[in-house]
Amino acid sequence: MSRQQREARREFLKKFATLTACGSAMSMIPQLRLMQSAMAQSPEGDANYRALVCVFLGGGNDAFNWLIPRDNTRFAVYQASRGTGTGGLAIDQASLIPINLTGPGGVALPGGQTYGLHPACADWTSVNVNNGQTAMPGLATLTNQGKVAWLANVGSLVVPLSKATFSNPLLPKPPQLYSHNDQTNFWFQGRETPNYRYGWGGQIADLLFSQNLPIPGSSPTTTLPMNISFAGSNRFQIGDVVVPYQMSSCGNPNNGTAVVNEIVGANFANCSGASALSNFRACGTAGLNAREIAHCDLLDNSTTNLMQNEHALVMARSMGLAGNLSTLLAGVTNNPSLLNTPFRALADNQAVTGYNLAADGGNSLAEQLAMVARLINMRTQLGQRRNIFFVSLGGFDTHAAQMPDTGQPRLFRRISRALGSFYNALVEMGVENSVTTFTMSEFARTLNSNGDGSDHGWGGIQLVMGGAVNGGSATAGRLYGTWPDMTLNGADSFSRGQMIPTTAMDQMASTLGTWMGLTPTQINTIFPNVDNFPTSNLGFM
Amino acid sequence: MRYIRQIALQTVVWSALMFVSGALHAQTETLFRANFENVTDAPATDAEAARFLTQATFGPTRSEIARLRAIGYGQWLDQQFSMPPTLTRPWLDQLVLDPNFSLNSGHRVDRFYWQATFGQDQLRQRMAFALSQILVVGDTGGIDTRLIAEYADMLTRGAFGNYRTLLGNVTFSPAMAEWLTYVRSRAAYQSGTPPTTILPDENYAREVMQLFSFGLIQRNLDFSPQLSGGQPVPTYNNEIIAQLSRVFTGLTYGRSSFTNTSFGNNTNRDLMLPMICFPMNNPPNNQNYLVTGRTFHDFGSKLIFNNITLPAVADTQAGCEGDINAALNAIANHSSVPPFYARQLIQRFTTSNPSPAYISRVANVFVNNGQGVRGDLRAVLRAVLMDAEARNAPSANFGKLREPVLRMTALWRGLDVVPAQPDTTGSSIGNISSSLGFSGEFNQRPYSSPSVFNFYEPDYQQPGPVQNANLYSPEFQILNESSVSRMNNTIQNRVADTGWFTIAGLYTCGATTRPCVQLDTYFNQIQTANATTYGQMIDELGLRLMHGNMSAAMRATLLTMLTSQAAPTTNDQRRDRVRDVIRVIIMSPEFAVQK
Repeated sequence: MSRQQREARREFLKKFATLTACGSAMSMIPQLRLMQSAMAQSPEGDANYRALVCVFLGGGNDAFNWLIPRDNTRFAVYQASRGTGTGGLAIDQASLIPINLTGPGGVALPGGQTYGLHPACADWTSVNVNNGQTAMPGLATLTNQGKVAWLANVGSLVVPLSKATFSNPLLPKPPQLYSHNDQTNFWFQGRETPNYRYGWGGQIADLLFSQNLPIPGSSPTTTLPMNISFAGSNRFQIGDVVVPYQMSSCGNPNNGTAVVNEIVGANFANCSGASALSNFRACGTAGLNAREIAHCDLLDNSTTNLMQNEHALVMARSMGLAGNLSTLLAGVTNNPSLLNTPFRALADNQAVTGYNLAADGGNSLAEQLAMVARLINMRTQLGQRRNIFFVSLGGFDTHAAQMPDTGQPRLFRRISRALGSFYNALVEMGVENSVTTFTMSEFARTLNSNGDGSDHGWGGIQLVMGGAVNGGSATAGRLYGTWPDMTLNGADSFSRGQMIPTTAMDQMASTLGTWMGLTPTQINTIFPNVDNFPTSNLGFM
Repeated sequence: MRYIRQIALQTVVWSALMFVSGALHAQTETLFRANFENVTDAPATDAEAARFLTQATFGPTRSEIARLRAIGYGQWLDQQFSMPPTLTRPWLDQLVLDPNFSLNSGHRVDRFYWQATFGQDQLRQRMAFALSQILVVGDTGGIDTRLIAEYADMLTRGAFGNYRTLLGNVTFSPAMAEWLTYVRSRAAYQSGTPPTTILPDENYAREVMQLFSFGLIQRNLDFSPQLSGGQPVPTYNNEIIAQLSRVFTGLTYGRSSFTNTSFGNNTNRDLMLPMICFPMNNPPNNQNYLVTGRTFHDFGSKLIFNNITLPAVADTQAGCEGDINAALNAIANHSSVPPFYARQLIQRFTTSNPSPAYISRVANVFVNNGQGVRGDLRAVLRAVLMDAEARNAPSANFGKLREPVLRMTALWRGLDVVPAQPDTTGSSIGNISSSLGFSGEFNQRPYSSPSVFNFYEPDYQQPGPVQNANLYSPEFQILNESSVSRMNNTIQNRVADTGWFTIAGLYTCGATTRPCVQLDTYFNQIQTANATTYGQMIDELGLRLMHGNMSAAMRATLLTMLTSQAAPTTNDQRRDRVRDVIRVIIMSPEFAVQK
């Protein structure tokens, strides 16, 4: 290779570093001008920081067993639709954890309506490194403290639909209802266009990412992308400019066999979630050897093969960020990213001793959220002011074995305990008002049983958690949206209890986008269908 | 913005092919034999041969390059088509004879890597691997290791057979029935107090159409969507899924002996047998099963896709099986199956972005292998590999990102890996991968996909320039800033770290239980180190690892890397130069994309 060629490639790498330091890309990209208006107002907590955490429940969460009507009248309908006995899917009324809910604005729910949560959402006891026990909140307690808002029967819609209007061929429906990947794409895209290029999280980030700074002191200068995934590639986080950065969680440091499982554990301290390449330091580092120089020279993204170019970019990003993140997140001594919050679902039914987390299949959601918490804790050192995180828990496609403890109860236990730990960590960092966590799932499931589980449905229930959530008062959470008639083939559902959504996912997402600081115009650009619905702000933020 | 759009459902009646089943049932073993005695179809260069072998096998070797050049493509393919399958389950069955041996899924994956690396039936192994990424079953749900192995063997045995036969074997496999939860799915019945109607499991009915046969959209032969009013025409709706779910009912495990309650329990079941329609000789009313017929199958007529009616069948075991086979005939005969498979098989072997014409040519062979047989996978595979678009010099974006598994095996094979001595005393029997099957490192553990959607989807588009150019890039779905490092660290370690390679008389493997590559050739090439000998070493590695496709610029970079350092004077220094070249090749964007 000639000297000229090599210099051209070095130039590419320099440009790459600049592009990664996203701020300077502003002049090149017209829509970034919109960003000034997107500057968010100061949130409580950390005025400089605001983040969304998307918890994706992969496979289609049977959420109508998560939040359940508890009053006798409606429970009877629920039970009749879900079925009892062998093959039935109804949860026992007596086992439901009662929760206090009001409607929007604190208005009492209509006469006699009460709700309960699945018993797996109970409080539990965790254990810290000194074997001290810590009482941890489950979703029931967080709801009753007003930190959680529940959204009833939300799903993919293009225009409002009802049982009566569904069969009208003139009204557009979401394409490929009931299909995992297509409905996941709908939730990620915020529109019905098949295989639309961007996700709504990515589009929000396109408008906000320039508020973030390069990692202070990084050399070569490097900026962490605003969107970070701990669950692999996902369309939700893809923007026109912002490409999500994908990290790993650090696993379970003690493999679940010991009771000491926390974010302060030694293995956590050694793990940054960003894998560094062996034998090759980041390009631009001083004193690279001949092998490293050759490698960097070959990271050329100007060939005629776009996949080859793309591989060079992924590799360069990996090398550029891994070193910085390792330094900041994996220092064994005085690692500033570590927290005291226990982050594991340790106790099963309060029985701390002998509980084996590994035998319960671990809690990968807690592992991912622990990493999110560590990154948030390092937000200043990382130059981050706006983030959208993506974490995911799979296993919700409960066609079979839904009712045994290893089915749905374990899934709900994982969510409840992971979110409880995460909320406590946010409180420990003082940013519970700056970080809003929400669930998405491609669909809920048939209320009707297939003998061992449930099949694909449509509208479901999602939650939003955080200090900035209009979750209610200190003694009650809130329920947004319209609770559907749970009769099979009733006013709101088809023959197997596939619910027609009464709230569009666009409305939920728009409300979150507005909280992140987007203007109504920007909201309408990202969610082109939201105007088809009564409001783009459901009021839960 | 408000808009109203009309989605008109086009109803197309397919009838001609639906019940022509005789020819489809027969496993076609007809060989397409041309006259290759004069070897008129041999690759012109080592590089051309290596490129073909990169597409058709788990990686070219020096000896296979020479053999292919000697016998030509046609004869090479014929030889491969006639090779007996190398299998997994018999190997595992042998291991478990030792009462002290404890089988786990790692042994299965280890055997996978052994077959991929050392199996003589390379094309068959590669085709089975491709099929395993379409007809997906994963052990992530805790499915029995030997059962997964049997499923893999079933795909391996059927790799060159007929699609309809394979679809039948898949449908009746207990592995699939557990994975997609239709084992023991039943005709509608009443249960509980108050009684509710339990309906059949819809899981398989949906995925057999969406993922295993024709997909969501009516396709033309070149894979372009059929449109109606400007909108793609869906192949089915949820009502059709409900109807088809009634077909896949009444199946339970095959077993050595039956009791009246066998449907609901696992007593005497044999996971290595196909599923059966459970015969109820004396219907009991126990286990809360309200039995009203002689099997648990739904015998009524069903109205499925394309307005096809599956007529009511007799209330017998044969009726149940006939009903299922009639549905599978209809599925296999759907007009979108050929383009659906043509495109995905092309993506697995040659390029992520075939031209519509390429897809169409392969799909035509799927429709008819030239002798009136539909779904002849052998003919389809030949069409995929021998198409002009695959054999001519690659156009700008031709090719595919190498899958993690294929990166590892290509390096092992290219560098003449020596298999490990099986450690028959420990848990690491097999030892080709040493770690008993890369999982987190690769995000691609064979037969261990996290869902039925495979490790990656055929429509995945990497955001950025790839997506902006409307290119598909399935394998990028598991490549990210973390995995690219973890994968490459593992691969570097396996071929270039001390203890994982040999140089005769100087450097030995770390243990006999490790697969180790041989670096003698390149080490010897630079005994006298200068630009010429360095160039020879680079070219040799470029042929073996990059099918001779290394750019002049990359070659120059590697040469500069070597010549910019003092000439090696010790064996350690020579060894390090060889390892540096290998490491940089592995990391390079040019290696990453098979063209």
